[in-house]
Amino acid sequence: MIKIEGLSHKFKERVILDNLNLEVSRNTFHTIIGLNGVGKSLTLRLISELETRQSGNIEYQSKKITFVFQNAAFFPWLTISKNLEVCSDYGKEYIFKLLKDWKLEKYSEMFPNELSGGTLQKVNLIRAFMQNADLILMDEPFSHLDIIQKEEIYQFTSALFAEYKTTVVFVTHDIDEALFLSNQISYLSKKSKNITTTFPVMLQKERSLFQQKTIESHLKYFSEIYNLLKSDMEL
Amino acid sequence: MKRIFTILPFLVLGALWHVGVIFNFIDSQFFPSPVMFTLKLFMLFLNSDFVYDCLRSAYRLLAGTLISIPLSFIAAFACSHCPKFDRIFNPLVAFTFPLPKVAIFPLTLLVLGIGDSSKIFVISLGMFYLLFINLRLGLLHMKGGEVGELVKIFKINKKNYFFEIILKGIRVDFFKGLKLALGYGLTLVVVSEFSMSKDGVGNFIWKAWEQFNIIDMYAAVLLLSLVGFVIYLVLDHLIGRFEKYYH
Repeated sequence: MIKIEGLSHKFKERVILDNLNLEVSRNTFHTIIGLNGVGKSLTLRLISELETRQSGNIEYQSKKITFVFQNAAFFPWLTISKNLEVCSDYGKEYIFKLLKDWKLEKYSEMFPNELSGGTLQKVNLIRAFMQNADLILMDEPFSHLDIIQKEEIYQFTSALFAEYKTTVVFVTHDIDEALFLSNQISYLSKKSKNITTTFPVMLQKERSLFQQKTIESHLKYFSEIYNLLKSDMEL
Repeated sequence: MKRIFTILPFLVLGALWHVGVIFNFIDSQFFPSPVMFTLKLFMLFLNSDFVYDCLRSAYRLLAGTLISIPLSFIAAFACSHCPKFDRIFNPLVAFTFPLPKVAIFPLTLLVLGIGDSSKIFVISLGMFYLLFINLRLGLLHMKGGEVGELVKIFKINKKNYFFEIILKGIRVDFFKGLKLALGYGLTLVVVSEFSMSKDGVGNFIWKAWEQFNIIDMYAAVLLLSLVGFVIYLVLDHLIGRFEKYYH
């Protein structure tokens, strides 16, 4: 689906990414986890070409890519339905039906600043998935939500992912979030400035965040990632 | 209640001025009572010559506005979307902006003659800079920020980009620029009518000065202040209306 080879990037003389390699296969929810400032968002911006690549190669199976921004970016002067309309090829009726399918139709004529953070992020997700893109890049979209909102939006994201059967590359520093949503996790190391380990996540998905935390296999994954973060932190 | 606070300072100042005139603290020959020149302004509106002067000035301001808006928008759009053009045009603006526009009025009289063309040219030129600077910064900010990234990621088509994103997104910056530009435009209207003009509010003030008709001068100045005040209130309302989306 997407293959990254030897991706390196510098800001002035500071090396952010050094020879990063990553392969994400089709229909995978792939999370890149790492400490703040290791270049997770930069990796997504390089994949989406929002940032100009300095070196390395990215092989795309298709360039139909979309992005879920961290701060739920919208055009503030357009209503929710108009925002979705201008960002897609769909008409007003289809968009209303789509919002209704996801129980968000009452917000269709509201402006982005009238919606709560969680609802806005749901619309942000719908906007990304409705494009029928082959690859969706998500840049820590849930970092500013509280635990209750997070739990709801994780379920919402999983439902959208199941419905649209696309490929997602998600970045976060939240271990629980990564384990709840992903099929696969890659660790982006601060020390080596590239991905040091990738492993599949074999956890049953039909559960709440609270239930998940009590599962033994969850704790095993959690401690594994926690130790990686801790060793990077001690640098 | 808010409206009372808006006009209260004017009422207090006017009352103090009037009391000062009554008790001879203020020389009424140079500073006539506001009651006098306010009443005079109402009387002047019964005079068709004064109404004609007002309409001529309004026409010049409107013509200057209608010329400067599309030109400043085209220039700002070109600068924000074509870095090469911006590198040439923006330094030119920076170089000529500090020049007082009134200073080139005699030159425009030479080139365009003493009719309306020279006056409208100076008014639209003065307004152009203030509109252009606001629009260019607004468009660059939009294009370089989140909005630009959304446009790129979602491959928004040209029609939607222009009508839904650019034209609607720039409204706050446009009205902020227009507020400044109309204030300056009003000044240029009056100054350009002071000399080589047979009509207009500026000409009326000049003639009143020549005839030492102080109350007429004050009445015309009051009219200009009221027009400026109304423009300020209307544009502030529009700015507030479109700015609410950002909070």
